[in-house]
Amino acid sequence: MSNENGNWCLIESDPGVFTELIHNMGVRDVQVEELYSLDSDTLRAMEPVYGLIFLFKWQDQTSSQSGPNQSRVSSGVVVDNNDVFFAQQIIQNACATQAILSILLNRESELELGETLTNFRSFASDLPPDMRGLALTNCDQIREVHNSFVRPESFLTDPDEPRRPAGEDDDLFHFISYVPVNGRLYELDGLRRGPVDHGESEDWLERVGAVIQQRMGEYKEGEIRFNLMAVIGDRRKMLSEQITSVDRDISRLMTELEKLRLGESKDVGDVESRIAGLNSERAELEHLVDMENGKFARYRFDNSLRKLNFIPFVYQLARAMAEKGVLEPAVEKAKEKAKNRPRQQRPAM
Amino acid sequence: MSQLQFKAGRLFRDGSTNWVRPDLRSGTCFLKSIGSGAVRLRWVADSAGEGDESNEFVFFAGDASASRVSQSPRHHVIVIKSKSTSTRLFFWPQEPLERIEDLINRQLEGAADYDDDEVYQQGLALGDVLSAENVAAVLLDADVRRGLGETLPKEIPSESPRDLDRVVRSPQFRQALAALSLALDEGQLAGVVAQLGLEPRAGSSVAAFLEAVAEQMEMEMEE
Repeated sequence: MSNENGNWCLIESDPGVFTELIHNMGVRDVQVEELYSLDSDTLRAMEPVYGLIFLFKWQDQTSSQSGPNQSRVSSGVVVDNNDVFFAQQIIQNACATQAILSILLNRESELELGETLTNFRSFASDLPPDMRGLALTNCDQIREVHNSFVRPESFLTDPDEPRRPAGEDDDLFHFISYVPVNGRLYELDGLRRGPVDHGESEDWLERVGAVIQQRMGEYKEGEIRFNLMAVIGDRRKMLSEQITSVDRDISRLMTELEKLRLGESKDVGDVESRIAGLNSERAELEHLVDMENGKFARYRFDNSLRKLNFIPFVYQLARAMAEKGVLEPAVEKAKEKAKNRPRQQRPAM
Repeated sequence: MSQLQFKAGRLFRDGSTNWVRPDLRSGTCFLKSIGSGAVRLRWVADSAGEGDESNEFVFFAGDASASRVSQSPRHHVIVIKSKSTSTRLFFWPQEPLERIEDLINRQLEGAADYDDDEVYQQGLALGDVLSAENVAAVLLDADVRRGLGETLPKEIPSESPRDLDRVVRSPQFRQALAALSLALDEGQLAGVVAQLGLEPRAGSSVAAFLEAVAEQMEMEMEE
């Protein structure tokens, strides 16, 4: 049966995918980073942090059925607050995009959202949470960007029908956003009826770690796997601003140094060592810029392979192997290997 | 592997209700064991034209069964239900219901008779054939690299053997190979195979596909 909201395909939960997704929606100067630690120092080093996305993956089907529900709120209160842009989840496969938007649309005053999201926000603001979710799944521009990350092989199967049990794997994922709004920390979970208020928090980066840790504690060990991502400001832009500021300090100290040298002051050595310190700080910042550039090059590489239809490549490769006479031995070797394989898992699409 | 075929109309569930509505076209239902404990069901309308929606489903052994719909004794309806998914397919056979029910169930159970391991053991994985080790030698050839490079987007370098080694080792390529292996073994790549100028048989399994590619290459080299 065809879906009136159009198809939202499952996309990979990966910082490179999310970063490009946000960029393609027209939002500027934002990137997504995977977090490996919840302590506030780690978070502070990434500032500005616009929000966190907490991703659950249940380890087996049975536990997901007892998954998130109203009774699982162990801290915080579900509230009806119009200051918070909250949308209920309508389509499972859209949940990653929805989690990202939940953050961006609540930090709109600090962000350059671009035309698509600005229009969507002003249109959906007056709607109740369930209608907002519906409006989101019906938004063609957002869906198009989301679906541009679909693996081409998934078109080999009929997206409207669950052809294989692997489709159930989709249900094993769940995304929750944490975002500060007007000095209070909110948990936005599209499966609840409203935002969960975690109270006033001047410094939400200090607070959010404990809230997430508590949430994690609600599950038995091994029951689920977690993944945490941060929606943050463009690192390269931050770094380049820091470099500019260091350069300014260096040139100021250089002028000072010249004067001191003329006056044969005994402070010369002190200023020289401060300049040396700033230069090594600058080198460190340049190194971080290089690392960011390398990361973004990797994102481009991975994302273009994600979108690639590999059939022509596979065909050319098999032909080249046949031409060089190595295809047949490779097939024989692979047949041997298949014989010894106990049981092959069906690959997830 | 055996195939069951019977004339039947189709019914669709009316929205999310439990009511079904008939598709007024007559058609034929095909059930075929496709290995790995799976049965493919395909319904084709007699009047089906090009671009008609796909009516194809895959059921796994032990997961699906057919039964007569008791609520509509007069209407001669049979339902095929999946236990693990919400899939419910309703048919309107033109032959006695008991017989069709029995035949469908035997076909669905029949899939269980194939030992999973046995079927899989014979299945060839593209990933094993096109492993980074197996393709390393051909990537040393500049003409091969050029040919492969033409199938890649501009963001992907393909100048050196190392560039292409990075592609063949990428998780995206390995995932694509796993998906393509499954699609080939399930016979879903008939259209693709035809586009590549390979004979239809090439679309029946990974082994058949690779054989056909080798044969095509051999013929081209003889010319």
